[in-house]
This record gives sequence, structure tokens and C-alpha cells, in this order.
Amino acid sequence: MSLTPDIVIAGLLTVGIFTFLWRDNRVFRAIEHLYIGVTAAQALVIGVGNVNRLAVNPILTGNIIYIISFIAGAMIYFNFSKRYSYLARYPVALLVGVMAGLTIRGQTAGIIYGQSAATAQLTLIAKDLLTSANNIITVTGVIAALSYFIFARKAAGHVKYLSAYGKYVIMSALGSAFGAAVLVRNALLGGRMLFLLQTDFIYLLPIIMVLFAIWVLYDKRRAQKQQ
Amino acid sequence: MVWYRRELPLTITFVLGILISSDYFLVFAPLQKTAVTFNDFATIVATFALGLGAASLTLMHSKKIIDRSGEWYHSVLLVASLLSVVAVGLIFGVPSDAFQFQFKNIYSPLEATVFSLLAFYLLTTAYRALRIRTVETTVFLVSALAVVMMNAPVTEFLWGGFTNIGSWVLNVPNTAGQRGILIGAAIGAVALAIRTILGRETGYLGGK
Amino acid sequence: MKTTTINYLIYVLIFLAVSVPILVPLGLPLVVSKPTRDVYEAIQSLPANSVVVLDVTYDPINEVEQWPMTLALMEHLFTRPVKIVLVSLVHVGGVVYTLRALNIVDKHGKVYGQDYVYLGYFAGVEAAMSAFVSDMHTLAKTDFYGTPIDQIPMMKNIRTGKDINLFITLTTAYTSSYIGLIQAPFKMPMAIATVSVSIPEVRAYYNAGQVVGFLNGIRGAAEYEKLINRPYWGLGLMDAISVTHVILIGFVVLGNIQYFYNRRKSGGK
Repeated sequence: MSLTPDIVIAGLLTVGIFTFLWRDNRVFRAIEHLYIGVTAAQALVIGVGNVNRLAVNPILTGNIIYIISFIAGAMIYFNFSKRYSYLARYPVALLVGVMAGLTIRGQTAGIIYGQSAATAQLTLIAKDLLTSANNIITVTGVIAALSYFIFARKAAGHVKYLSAYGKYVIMSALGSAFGAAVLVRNALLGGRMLFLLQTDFIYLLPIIMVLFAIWVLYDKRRAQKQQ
Repeated sequence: MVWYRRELPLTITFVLGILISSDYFLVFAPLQKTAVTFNDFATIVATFALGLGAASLTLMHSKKIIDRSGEWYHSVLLVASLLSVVAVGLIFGVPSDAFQFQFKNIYSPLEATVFSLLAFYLLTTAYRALRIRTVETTVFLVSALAVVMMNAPVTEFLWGGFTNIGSWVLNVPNTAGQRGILIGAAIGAVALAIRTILGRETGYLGGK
Repeated sequence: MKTTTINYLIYVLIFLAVSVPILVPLGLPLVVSKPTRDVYEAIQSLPANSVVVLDVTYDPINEVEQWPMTLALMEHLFTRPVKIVLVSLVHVGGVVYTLRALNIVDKHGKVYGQDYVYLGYFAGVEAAMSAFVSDMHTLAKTDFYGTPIDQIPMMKNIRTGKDINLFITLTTAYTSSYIGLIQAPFKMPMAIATVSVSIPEVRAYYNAGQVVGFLNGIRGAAEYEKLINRPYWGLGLMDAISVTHVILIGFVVLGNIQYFYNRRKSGGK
């Protein structure tokens, strides 16, 4: 048995989070705060390294133009100043302008054109009946789903039926996403249990389960007394 | 309202938006080079923004500690953990054993476990909410179950038809719905981008 | 039975459903799906000296699904006579996972700088994606370790999206941006190895021919491990996944039986 500090720390933090399943408690809230602190720190550390690599080093090696990006980036921290917070708008405007331009590029070419072209290329009268039926469902489904978005509130007459069909098609897509999400969530839990059961932390689990049972019973007794 | 607080940022957004979007549609070398440069600048500015979260959290929780308000001792833990990880990362570097240790044994288990709680809530939700009440919920339920059965190897083992049904649901009605959603969302995104470039959407500027 | 009691019973059942198959493997067979096989074939059929970009970009929330995929894909790529450009374009966690994977996988004699390189993480999501395929040298300037990109032998002829033969992304989000900003402008062969929740959307891209193949979360990881014959926790979790999925189906059926019974009891209201 080799209960190394890394396994004990990771295991105790995991079990601490799982206590939330019984109820919110101080241990969970403490670990939650630890998590928030550590998460924020990751981005900052990697960000500092990147600023060094992408802005500072090029400036020091003669690419003066990167001073603009360095100053613009640093200005974002004026957000915390009450008097000069408007200075943070310039880097945000730079980001928003670039992102807006990229959105027009990316969404038009990749999605609007790409997906529309793929739908239009489906043959409605194919070699076999099943393919034809599938293609007809897909093409009519796409048109119906789009009409649901466009005419959702104002659908009248025959368009109402098209929008209703579109609604069912969209519910199928959302249902598929839910079914897929089941795999993700179960995999996440499986990963944690894999750690708890396949490392030496398994030897601590009986003690932890006993302590947990004592806590649950104590809680229930306290609740009964209060009643 | 002075021009440099509002009009200047809106002008920056307009110029860059037009520059970046037109670069895609026009073949003009100086335009392309300028677009690439500003694209690069945007990644650097976004890199600076990575520290905003940490800075904001530190300020907010430091105030809580100084004022001794609420559960301020949890704030002590938050600020201490943040500063320790930053110190380790900046002094020893990301590839170092110390940084990798906290990533593997503190950050990674915490994040994975917090989100693994959703597995429990998903099942209780499925038990309570997935009912055959209306046509819409039935379609939702059937699609969800088809995908669930397709993903589980045991159902393939019992009957290969589950995979075929799941594949059909994903390839036909799901694809139709997803395409509708994607195209609709893309049209909406392009419309919002155009409005932003033209200065009609100013939410990103914050206050006055 | 009280609602909270039922909830706690469900929690205990899920714990058991996940734990028991881990402790006592069932050994259920796994069929490799076509999209996974397409990714495998896309890598396998690459000619010598092809350029492959592997974008490792996820955070610990998705580690359980994407870490085994990272190892499996890297293991496979390092057996092929291709140039590998590693990068992280969306999530900061990709940096640590890339470094860790490079320490673990067998590189089959490949040399850093000549056969593979890690360019690091770039913030800005869409801005980073667009900058990457527009001009990698302007974006990256150096590799992750600080070596100027002009001094890295393999990067001399790799500059834009036109030089990439296959782009594999281990992303968890922004798939439409990858398609719009990287795949579409260059008609680049792209494979997506992503979490299961994104698969319904990725299917639409796959069916449109915009993506050559995809890996479906932990199941895709398990299938790929089977294809390259390197079992890891992807295959190890499949039994637990099977049991939890069957339990979910059971609870949905039970819930609906209860619903219809209650409705009948209350006169169809």
C-alpha cells in the first residue's frame, strides 16, 4: 500500500465535494472556495507566460508595433478604476470589432453556406426508398426548423403546420443532445470512481464511509430534536 | 458625452469589423496583412484579459476579509490558494513538477468532481421529468433514449438494432434539427455582428 | 415514499452502478463505429511528410473523456511518418495536458523541432483560430519553450492553413467556429474528437462532409484505444457506462409507468 500525499489530497477533495449530495455544508463550501481560487490562478499563470512570449519578447527583439497591443491589453485593467474605467473600452472595442468581423466570415462561409449547400445537395429521389425518405425528412425538417425560428410568433395558416413540424424536429435534436449528455455526466462520475477505486485511496474509503454514516445519523437526530 | 468615451470605441469597432470581414471577401495583400496584424493584436489583448478573473476575485474577497463580512474565512482560503498557485506558476513555470502537482491533484479532481455531481441530478431529472405528456415531450424522450441506447455497449450486445435506430435518429431528424438551429443561430450571429459593427449594439461599452 | 428519500436511493444506486463494474469488469464487447474508424483511416492514409495539427484544448472538466483520446491520437500520430504541430486554441488547460501527454507517449524516435513542435496556447478563441490559419509565424513568433519559430526546422514550410493536411481538434466548444474559420476557408480535412454532448451538432458537420470523422466522447476514446490496441481508461469505463445507461432507461420507464398509473387513478386529469 502506498498512500502518497497526491492521492490522499485528490481523494479527500473528491469526497469533500460528494458530501454536497447529502446537504450543503462547511467542508463543501471551503473546498468550493479553494476550487474557485485555483481555477482563476491557472488562467493568470498561463496568461502571464503568453504575454511574455507574444508581446514582451517581440518588443524587446525590435518589433515595436507590438507596443500597441501591449498598451491596449494593459488598458483593460482600467476596468477596476472608477475614474478611468472608460479607458478599458478601447481594448474591448478592438476585441469586439475583430470578433464581429470574424463572425461574419466564419458563420457565413462555414455554417450558412456549408450547411445549406449540404442540405440542397441531398437527392429527394434516390436509388432506394429509405435514402429518399431520409433525404426528404432532412430537407423538409431543415426548412421547417428554420420556419419555426422565423415564424414562431406570427405563424398562421399553412405556415403554422410547417412551424409545428419544425418544432418536433428541433425537439428531436434537443432530445439527442440530452441523450448524449447522459454519456458525458456518467463518464465524469466514472472517472472519479475510477480514481477512488483503482488507486490506494480505496483503503481509506471504509473509514470515510463510516465517518459519513456517523455524520448523516447525527444530522438526522439533530433534525428530529429540532422538530 | 465626450467623444473619446463612446464615439471613439465605436469607431474602433467599426473600422476593425469592416477590415476583418472584408479581408475574407477581397483579395488585396495590404488589407490581408493589416487584418492579420490586428487579428494578432486581438489574441494578445485577450491574453491580458485572462488575468481579469483573478484580479476581480482577489479584490472582491480581500474586501470581504478586511471587513470580516459573511464567511470571510472561506475568502482567506480562496485568496491564499489563488496567490499560492500564481506564485508557484510564475516562479517555477508551467512545466515544473510543482505546478503540475497542483493541476493534477487539486485543480483537476476538484473541477471533475464538481461537474460529476450532475450525473446524480441527471438521473433524478430523468426519473421525474421525462414523461410522455405531449407530442413534443414524446419526440424528445424517444430521441434521448435512442441515443442513450446507441451509446451503451450492452444494448449493442443485446440487439444490434439499437445502434441502427440511434444512428438513424442522429443522422436524420437530429441532423435536420441541428442544421436548422445552426443556420438560424448563424444568421442571428451575423445580424448581431453587423449591428455591433454599425454601432447599434453598444452593450459591450458598459455604462455611459 | 418521500422525494428526498427517493433521491438518496437513486444516488446510492448510481454509486453502485458505477463502482461495481469498475471493481468487477463485465468485459462487454465494443463495436467500433464508422465515424471513429474514419478518423483512424484519415490518419492512417496520410502520405509521408504530411502536416497534421493536433489542437489539444480542454479543461479538467472534460479530462475523463478527452485525456484518453489525447493519448490514443498522439500514440497513433507518432507511429506515422508525419509532421505534427501541437497547439491549444480555446482552453488554457490544454497546455498542461499537451505537456503531460508529450512526457508519456512513445515518440517512436521522432525529434522535437524536426518531426513535432508545440506552439503553445493562444487566447481569443475565434481571433486565435483565424490568426493561426492566416499566418502561424505572426501569431506564434516562438514555440511554447521560447525558440523563435524561424529557427524550428519543420516550421520553415508550415505557415498557413494551406500547408495543413489534416486538422484534429480535441475541443469541447466552439465547433462552429472551427468549421467556419479553419475548415471552410481552406476546405481542410478536419476531425473532431469532442465530448459526447457536442456530437449531435458534429453529426450535422459530418453528414455535410465538413468533418472527415469524429470521436464520440468516452465511447470514441474506447473505440480508438481498441483500434490502436492500447487499452486505457476509455475501455475501462465502458462497462460502468453500460450499467448506468441501462439504469437511466429503467428509471425513465418506471417514471412513466408511475405517471400513467397516477393519471389513471385520478381519472385521466
